[in-house]
Amino acid sequence: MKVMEYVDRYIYAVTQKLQEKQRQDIEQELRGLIEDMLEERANGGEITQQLVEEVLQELGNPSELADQYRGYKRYLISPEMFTFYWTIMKIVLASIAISMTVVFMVEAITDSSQGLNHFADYFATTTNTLLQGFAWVTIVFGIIEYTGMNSKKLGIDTVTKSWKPSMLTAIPDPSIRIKKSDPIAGIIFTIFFSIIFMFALELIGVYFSTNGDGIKSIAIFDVDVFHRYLPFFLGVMALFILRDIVKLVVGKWSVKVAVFCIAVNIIWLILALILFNDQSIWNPTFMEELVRIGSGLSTEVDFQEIARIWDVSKDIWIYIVSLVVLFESIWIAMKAYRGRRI
Amino acid sequence: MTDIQATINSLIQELRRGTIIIGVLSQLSEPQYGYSLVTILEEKGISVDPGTLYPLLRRLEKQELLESKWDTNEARPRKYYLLSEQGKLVYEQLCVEWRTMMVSMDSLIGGGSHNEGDGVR
Repeated sequence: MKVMEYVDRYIYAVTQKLQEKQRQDIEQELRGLIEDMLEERANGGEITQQLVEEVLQELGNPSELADQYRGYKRYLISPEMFTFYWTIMKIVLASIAISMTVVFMVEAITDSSQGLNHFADYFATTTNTLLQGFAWVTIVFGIIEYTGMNSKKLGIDTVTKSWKPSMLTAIPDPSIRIKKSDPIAGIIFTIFFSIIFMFALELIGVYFSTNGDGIKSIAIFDVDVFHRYLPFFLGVMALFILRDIVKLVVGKWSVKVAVFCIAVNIIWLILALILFNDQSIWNPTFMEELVRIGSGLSTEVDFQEIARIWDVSKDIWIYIVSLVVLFESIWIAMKAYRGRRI
Repeated sequence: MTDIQATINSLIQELRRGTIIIGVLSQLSEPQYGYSLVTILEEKGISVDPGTLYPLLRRLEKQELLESKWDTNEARPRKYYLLSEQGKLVYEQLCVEWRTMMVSMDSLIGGGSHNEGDGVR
């Protein structure tokens, strides 16, 4: 190996981590420095491999030198954000694992014919979904980091240069404080339902216990039609998770938080209205399947009565969603109103 | 004991860090390149790691305290740094600040132990 090989490698290691426009300048300057140092150490003699290593050792780790030149360290997730990132990551991964397991267990119970297939499938899908969850959380935090929306701007870290005691926020009144468990449960539920709607929509159905044939179910929705709405549905789910992160960060029902939460609710209501207004989302063969299963049912069924309930329940969904949204929004508005007075 | 030594070393490092900038500015009324500056400072008892000095010179240049010029006439091209007009002003101000600090520190370290209680208002 040529004696100067290490020098080239060292300079490359430092400059490749730097911005294009300063790279050449620094490279030239650094090479000059190393040559000066070598010359001085050699004292007119020959430059040996040992001498090169000695000089480079003294200059230290090239990444650290590059950091010095850059003036700051580079992170995907900075130390200030890491705790928060890790909390969200744990919640997301745990919810995915739990939801997938629940889906798997219900599927295994209702369809015992292919137990092993189910398990292989469960394992593959869960691994895939966990990786997706990991990637998405990291990407979101990476974007937050990259765009400089760091913890200071998000209000997690209140240590800023022009800090004044008057900037201290009032300790939130217990009645308007958002407990951490609320948004965390929210995230877990959102992920749970997203997973059901993505992978196991057919599990949302009516369950019957039959004579000798185990538990049978009839899906309520037409999976294919419903999945056309999936992008919008997942978009709203993403909004729900964003809402919960905001609640987690702010920690109290401020007016802004309340307005945001109500806005998310309204978007959800609009989607629900569109969704339930489309009659084709319902399983078109519900009654036929029911009749087919009906012969094996353990109890006598009144098909006409069920058909009537089935028709009515189609219309009832939208009322349930509207009422829930309405009451939650009123509740949030009251919290925020009280918070404003305090 | 080694723990105490390590603490002392890191504290000394911290103390030095602030003085390096004044040291560098003081020598740049004449143009110097990085390594010549290392040598000069070394001779006067201030040891600076080139890995610290080179990035520092760039930073000071970016803050417009220094001006730089490449000299390609010699065997190896060298980047020379020189105090800018603004740099001179800053250096003078830093010197004033340094002297005041020295006097205050002296009265704390030197005078304090002999006249105990004198420093209390």
